[in-house]
Amino acid sequence: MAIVNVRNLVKRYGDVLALDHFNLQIEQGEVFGLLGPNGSGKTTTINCILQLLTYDKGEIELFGQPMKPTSYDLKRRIGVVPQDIAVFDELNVRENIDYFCGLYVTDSAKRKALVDEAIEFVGLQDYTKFRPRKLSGGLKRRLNIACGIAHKPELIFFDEPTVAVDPQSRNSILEGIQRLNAEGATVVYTSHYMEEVEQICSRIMIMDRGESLASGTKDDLVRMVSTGEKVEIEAPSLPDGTLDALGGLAFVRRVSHDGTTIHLLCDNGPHNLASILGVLQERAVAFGRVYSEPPTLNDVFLEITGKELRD
Amino acid sequence: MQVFKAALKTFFRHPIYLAIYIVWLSCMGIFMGMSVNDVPSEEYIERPNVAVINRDGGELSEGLAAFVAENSVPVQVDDTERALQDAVMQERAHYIVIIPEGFSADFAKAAASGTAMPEVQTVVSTQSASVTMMDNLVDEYLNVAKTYELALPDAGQAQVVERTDAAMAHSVDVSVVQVAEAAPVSNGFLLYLQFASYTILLSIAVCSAVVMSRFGREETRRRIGSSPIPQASVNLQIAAACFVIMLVCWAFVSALGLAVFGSKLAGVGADVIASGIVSLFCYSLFGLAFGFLIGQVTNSELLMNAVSNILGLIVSFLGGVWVSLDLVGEPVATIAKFTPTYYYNEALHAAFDSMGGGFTAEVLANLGIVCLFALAVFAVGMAISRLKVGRMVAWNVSSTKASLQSAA
Repeated sequence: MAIVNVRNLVKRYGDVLALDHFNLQIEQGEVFGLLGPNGSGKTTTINCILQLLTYDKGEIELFGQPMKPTSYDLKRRIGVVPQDIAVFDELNVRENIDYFCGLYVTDSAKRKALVDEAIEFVGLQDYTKFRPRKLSGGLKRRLNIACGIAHKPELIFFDEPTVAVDPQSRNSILEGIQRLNAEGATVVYTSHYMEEVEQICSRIMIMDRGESLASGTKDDLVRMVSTGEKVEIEAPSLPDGTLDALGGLAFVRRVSHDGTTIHLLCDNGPHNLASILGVLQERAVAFGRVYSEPPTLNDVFLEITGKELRD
Repeated sequence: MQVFKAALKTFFRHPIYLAIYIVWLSCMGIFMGMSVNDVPSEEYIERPNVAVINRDGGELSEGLAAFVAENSVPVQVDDTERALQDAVMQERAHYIVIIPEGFSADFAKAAASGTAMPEVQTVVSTQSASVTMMDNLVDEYLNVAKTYELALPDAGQAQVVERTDAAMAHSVDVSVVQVAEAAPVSNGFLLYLQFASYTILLSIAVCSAVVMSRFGREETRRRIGSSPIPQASVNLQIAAACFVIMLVCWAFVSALGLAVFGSKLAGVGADVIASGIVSLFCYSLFGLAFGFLIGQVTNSELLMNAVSNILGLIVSFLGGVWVSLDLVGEPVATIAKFTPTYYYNEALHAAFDSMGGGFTAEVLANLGIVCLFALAVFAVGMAISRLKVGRMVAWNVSSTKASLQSAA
């Protein structure tokens, strides 16, 4: 069942087309990644889905029902973790979580249990009386997440939740998102960090300029591009003609040598590495370690758009 | 009620504002109010320092010198130009009477012949009521002496002086009579209420602006907007919280004033007191509207405090809180009419000075103008709020354009 169904969404900011007949389907239980550079339309998409922005054209359905600004029953089932930290400096950790949870849950006894659970979930047990300004950047991010998930939503939007956090907090946040998903929540995760999306998302959409360029599982996306793998071989010295011989292999798209290592970019193929090593052995090239990397989402993005994901 | 409770918590988590703007400023108002006497408990005549330079030595001049000495604090000054200048410059003598040589004889001759009377010279160093009074007494003494000279042409000058001294010794007894209809004005409480306009404006404006700005931040609005609480309900709860803040400030300032000055208000009608408190309530509405406006303009607490303080001082000055508008120039008095504080003070004076009760038409008219000011400022705040939404859209457009251009 598609929990999120967006059809032909068009959003304009004046004469700028932010979303161009955008389509999106997210199934229940997925961790869906929206990947794209800054300004590609990720946040605009989420804001439109949440009815925080009006849009020019298109249909949005959540949980099989049309989403409108007054669809409060649907909103009750949604959690939002915005990119910017949205908490009150005057309230302490517990009060902040209680406040945002209280927007969804009116029963105070039930809310108390949910707040306790959220505090434990993000690991802020030792900081419940702290005001946000006393927390580090990573802890603030955790508080921001706790405020968005405390009411146990079925669908959670994470809008670049790891911007400007240390690696330890980032890992903690990503693990938390995976746990939420394991507990049954459907997650929509936007980021321009491909490593994060690769790590946690079961399905990914690559966006740019308000359009969906490709979507599918990571493997689906990788299979879409012709770049098969990147091969690196340590070889301090090369006999003359070795690079030409390697370049002559049908699947090799590009080859170079930087004095210590041979770099090869290859098309998809089952025996690329064996063929390359065969050429080196024929020419009695002494080589050390060999690295073979499958294509990354950055390669996919590069091939689709002609530019790096990180601008 | 979640938003309402969070808004009130936000308010109470700023104890420094409560301490400074409500408690401290109210205490200042109390001190100011207590510094004025409602009804003088004892009457006295202030005596200036007076020097008499008697170059004549005649009977009338001696009599005048003695009379002046009796009604002033006599100061000895040498009869030299330098000494006289020093006494005036150093304000050792507030008033100097110089009796010229031959004054007594000339005085008698002029009275007998009906020609112009000779005059004494006077020098004033500090203009004050007591000096003016002294000047009047000197004139009066000489006028009485002239009357006796004319009335008793055969009497010697010694007798004229004697009779003049006797006449000048008489004074009129004055007593303050309280009539039932006239309420005694409690100047202390009135001054406290006048100063309270500054207290109320600052406390309500800053505290409500801080609360509104917390909920007005874009990221907070976005998060609340995605929740199942209707935006109208959120706005209503914030407005209710700010209204409660206003009530707290108003109630505290009013209660403190009544507690401190209550004993001096025994003779003041309840309607007059109620009018003062209602006037303060109306002015509180202006403070609330002002806070709403500031909350729309900026999220910076520093700026909120600075703007509130500066504008608070200006409107309080123009409204006559610091200096009576009778003492300022006509242009300032004209500008003052464009401030709500002016009408607030007018309402207070109309209530406390009137014999027609606390809620006269004049009082109500002035309070109506104060409420209109509040409405106008609130409308400006609403307009800015709308403009802000437009500006956010514009910012989004420019941000998206920049992203697209850099991507291209």
